[in-house]
Amino acid sequence: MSEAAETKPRVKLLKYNAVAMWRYTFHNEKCGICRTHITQRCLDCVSAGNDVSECKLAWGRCGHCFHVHCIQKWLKTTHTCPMCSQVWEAERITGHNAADEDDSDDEM
Amino acid sequence: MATNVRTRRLMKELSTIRKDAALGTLDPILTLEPVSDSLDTWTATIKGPDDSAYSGFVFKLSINIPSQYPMTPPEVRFVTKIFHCNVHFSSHEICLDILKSTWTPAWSLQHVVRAIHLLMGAPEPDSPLNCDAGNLLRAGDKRAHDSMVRLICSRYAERLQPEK
Repeated sequence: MSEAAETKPRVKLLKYNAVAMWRYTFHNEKCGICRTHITQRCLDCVSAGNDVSECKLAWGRCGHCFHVHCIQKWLKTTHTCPMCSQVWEAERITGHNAADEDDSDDEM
Repeated sequence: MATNVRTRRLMKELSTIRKDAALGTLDPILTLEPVSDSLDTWTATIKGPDDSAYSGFVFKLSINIPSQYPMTPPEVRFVTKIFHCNVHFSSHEICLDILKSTWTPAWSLQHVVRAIHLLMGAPEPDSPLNCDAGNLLRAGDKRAHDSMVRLICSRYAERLQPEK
């Protein structure tokens, strides 16, 4: 033990670059209804020229995510998730940049 | 506004289809494209499933896109006459759950056409639109069923051109 502690380290760490990986924790990256990436506005908002702040995202308990405008239109006819057909239960509603929201799950 | 969303979504579907066609991953779909610029009606051609009596023939489908698409399913029917227990022999209407009760907007036209291809290989004789075909299958007379399939195919369907 003491011998190992006395020997000088052969390598000295001068600098390091930390790399972090991240990914979304939901299953689909595209809204299954309008097929636009969920980081972008839904097709309704694109057509209407709405700002991205007006287009919210709905996250289901089943782990699927849709634009609020898209899922609302679908829920008028059937109250199930379009991706997995489980009964739709909204878990939370966020803006497109989830980290900016006041939502507790996504605090900075 | 609703029609605009429908058009944009169909444009997205078309670009996916074109990408898949370029990559060669559209098989067993030979073609899937709109008939006109309006994107209201599409047409598709599919190969008969390899392990079925439909093998070696090409089948044409017509697809009508309703105004509420993708909230309501597309209306699909065969153009080519086909002897299949879930396809009406005269109207060519298709009995398939995802075209009716279990449709969701997560399905696309490409999914639907693939599902029809699978239905050709896996007929459901318990909900027949063509009772003659259904009865042959329910009686377990696959040989009679398959020879009837081939007779109708050879009369009405185009033969699959061998790949060069």
